[in-house]
Amino acid sequence: MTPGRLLFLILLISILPAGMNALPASAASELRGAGATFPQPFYEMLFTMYRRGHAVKVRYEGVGSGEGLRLLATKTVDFAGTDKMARQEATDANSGAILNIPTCVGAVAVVYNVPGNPRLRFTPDIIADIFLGRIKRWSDPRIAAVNRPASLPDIPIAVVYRVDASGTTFIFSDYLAKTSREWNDSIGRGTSLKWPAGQGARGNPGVAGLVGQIPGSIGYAELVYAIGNKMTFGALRNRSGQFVMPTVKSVTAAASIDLASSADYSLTDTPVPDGYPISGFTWIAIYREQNYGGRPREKAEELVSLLSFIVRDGQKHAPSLHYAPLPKNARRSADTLLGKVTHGGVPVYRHREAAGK
Amino acid sequence: MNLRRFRIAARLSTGLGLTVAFMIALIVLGIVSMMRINERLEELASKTTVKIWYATMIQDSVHVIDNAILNMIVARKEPTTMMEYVRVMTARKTCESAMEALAKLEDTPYGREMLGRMQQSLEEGEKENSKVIELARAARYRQAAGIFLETSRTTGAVVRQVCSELVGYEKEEANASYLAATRTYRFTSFMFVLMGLTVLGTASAAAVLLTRSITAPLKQAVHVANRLGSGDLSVEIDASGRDETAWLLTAMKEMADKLKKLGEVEHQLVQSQKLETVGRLAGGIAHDFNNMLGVILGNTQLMKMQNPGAQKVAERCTVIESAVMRASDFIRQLLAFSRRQILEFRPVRIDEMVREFEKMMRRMLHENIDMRIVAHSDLALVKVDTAQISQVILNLVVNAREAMPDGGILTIETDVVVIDSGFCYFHPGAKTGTYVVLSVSDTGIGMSPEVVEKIFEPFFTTKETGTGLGLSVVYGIIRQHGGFIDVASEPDRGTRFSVYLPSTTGEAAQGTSRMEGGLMTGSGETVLIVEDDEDLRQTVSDLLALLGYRVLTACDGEEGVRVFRGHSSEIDLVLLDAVMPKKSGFEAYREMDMIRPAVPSLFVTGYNAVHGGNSEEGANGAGVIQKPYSVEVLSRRIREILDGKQPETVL
Repeated sequence: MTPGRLLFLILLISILPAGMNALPASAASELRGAGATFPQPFYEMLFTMYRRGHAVKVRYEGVGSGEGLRLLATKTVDFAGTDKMARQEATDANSGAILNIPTCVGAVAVVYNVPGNPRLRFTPDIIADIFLGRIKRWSDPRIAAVNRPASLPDIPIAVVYRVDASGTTFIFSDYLAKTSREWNDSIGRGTSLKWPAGQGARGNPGVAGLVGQIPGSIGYAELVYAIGNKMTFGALRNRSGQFVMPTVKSVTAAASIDLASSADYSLTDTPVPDGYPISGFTWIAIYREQNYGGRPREKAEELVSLLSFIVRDGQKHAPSLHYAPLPKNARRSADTLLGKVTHGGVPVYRHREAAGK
Repeated sequence: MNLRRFRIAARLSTGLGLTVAFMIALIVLGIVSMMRINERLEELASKTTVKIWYATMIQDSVHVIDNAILNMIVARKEPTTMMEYVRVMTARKTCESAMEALAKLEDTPYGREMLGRMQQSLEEGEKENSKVIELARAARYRQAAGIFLETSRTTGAVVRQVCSELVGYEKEEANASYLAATRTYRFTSFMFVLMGLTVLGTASAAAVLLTRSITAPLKQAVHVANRLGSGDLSVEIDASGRDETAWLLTAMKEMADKLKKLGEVEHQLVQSQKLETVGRLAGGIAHDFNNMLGVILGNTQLMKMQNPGAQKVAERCTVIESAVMRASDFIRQLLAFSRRQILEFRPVRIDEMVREFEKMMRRMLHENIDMRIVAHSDLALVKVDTAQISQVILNLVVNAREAMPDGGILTIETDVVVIDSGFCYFHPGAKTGTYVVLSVSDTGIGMSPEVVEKIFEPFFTTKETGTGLGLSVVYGIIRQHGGFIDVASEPDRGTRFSVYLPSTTGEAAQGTSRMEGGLMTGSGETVLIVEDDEDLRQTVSDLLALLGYRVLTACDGEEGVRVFRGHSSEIDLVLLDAVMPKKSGFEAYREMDMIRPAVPSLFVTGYNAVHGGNSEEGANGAGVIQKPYSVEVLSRRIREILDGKQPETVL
């Protein structure tokens, strides 16, 4: 090997890592998102599909709805997944308006780990009292009353809840606040709550994992986590008095309401007779004006393209992961919202469509 | 420490209280220690269980991840891939939670280091896994399978190995801690046994001490009671301490003291009863003796009167007379002792009497004796027979003189004292009230208690020339005055006689002297003589007839009344013997008085038959004459009564 060639090699080795480092940054083909773990499996699947047709890599981190919105506000991510509609805070007026784009409908399953894996039925007040720490054992007569003739073991109930700010928690507590006065008065609704009893876990996977590991435990997680981890979950009595299992069908039914009448798109405690009562929309929150933090227009275009894929073509894949697709009116509303996205005041969606045509 | 300073109840309750407190303290300490040890063991056990559980959780999760990835690669279908990805996510979260929990629980450096290693291998594994999953999701299954087989499985194996290591280590740690706890437990139980034994020992010692402190004095009390019961009053009683047994012993001591005093009192009582008996005996003898002396004297005087010219006869008669008088004096002394003498009481001041006597007493004393008179009772009067009390003083002074052959100080004191029931208790014969005390004390040879006991007995004497009647006379006189006498004497220190006489109120009488004079003849008045002694009756009858009286005689009270009834208008005077069979002189007089009130009468008596008290008859115009009487005395008393002169006489 000649000294000249050796020198070249050394140069190459020293330059190469820097070049490789610089490469993804220079490319506009990466979108970053973070937030709810509730729709994460759905997103991950759609992102993988989207990547096949587009040269765009999407990274999504399941950190919980609350953390996701925080990361969006700090401009760390391009979009945030949230199960609770992001509200426009008065303080970040300079950040511009946030758009909440509905992506799908999910169900919060009440998962439990009871020896023998019996299929249980719950009433709202039983759920409320279990999570309030008032019903302490599985053999409680009130549980037994709605679950005849199943016999339940006399073991203590271990409650598992979310410690991170979570949209799942919001949907779950929203449901309980609507159905139990007790809950409404003592706990209320929110993304993070003061739990009177139990043990905390992070994210839907965390709750699912802990419930799966602790005999006698009970928790709440998105349906896909319950099914994916082969966990048992219960049927809930809805407003119509029917005990309904969470399925794509019952969740879809729950979402088949006139959304205009619902102030915040809330689907909990649905009036639909065969609707599952703890269902909820999940959203992707983005800034309406995409020209911030030196973001190129291309990035905004990719983002809008990705989101329109989710709300249009992606919807048909939702049932395979046990999510319900958006009802028609929600899909229309999502379309309208995407049309409002601008970059430097110029609408991105229309431009892209025009460019596409 | 002397436990008897505290009451038994206090001792017992303190002892029991302390024991119970000790026991409770021991029990509480024991329970607390056991609980702490138990808690620590449980904590250890649960901590180890939890740690092992978490470690197992990690192992499971790693296994689930491997399994899920394998499924992804094998299934090669989009929804399945996603579902398996859900499992991976869940398992990863579980792993994270478990690691977090373990990090919180782990407290040994080695454990931390091991956790660090585990964390590292988990992170490596996740990196490799992510690569495989990425490839699988990009549908590059073959490539994914290659990398998975190459790396992930080995990483998983490493994690599992570290996990097992951790579990082993935790178990070992737990075992060591368990052993340490067991050692602590053994040590603690040993300590408790030791403490228990100590408490037991202390309690036993305290019990023995307590019991002794109670039983010892009780035993003493039993001993004392036995001794007292057997009559030994001199037993020594230790009543020190302040507890109940001390009270008991104090009470026993007091009882013994009282018994001792009671014994002395009893002795004194026996003594005085003895004197009484002797006195009664002497009185009986004296009565008959007086009658005989009366016959002798009367006949002697008759002889003298009937033979006026016979000088020789008169001389002999005079000798007989004087012998009879001496014998009569002797009898009088005996009677004085037996308190059957007739006394004439007058209120006087003892101190004045003492002063009057002073000169005479000084004459009786030798020069080497210094007599001192301390007279205090200026105002107190006593009703006494001055002659008798003079004799008492003289007797006492003579005794004091005899006790001081080598000279000394003789003190005569008078004082007033008030005597209460307590004093009476120990002086039989004393009554409560105000008394005048006359005390005569000397600094002479003194007397032993044995001698003191006997000094009042008649015929007891310590002197070769003594009659043995001096102090017995004093005793009789004082008793007859309603007083009593107290002696305090100590050998070589001296003797003190204290005479207690009941005080009285009233005017002091001027001293009267007995009228002396010759024969007083009668002028044909009729005298009824009632006398049981025939010789005496005859003698008196002859004497009175000679003196010019008309004489009627009766041999006893009944006959006397009968004779009186027959001659009631003629009789001018009745001469009655006080003591007679069938009917006493007084009884006879009472009946005569009913026949003819206030008949002049003269009682003849050898001694005072009616004890001490005043007799009504005395005030009812009757006179008293003492046996044996001379013809002069008899004639004068008869004349006095017939002529209406009556001195105050008390029977």
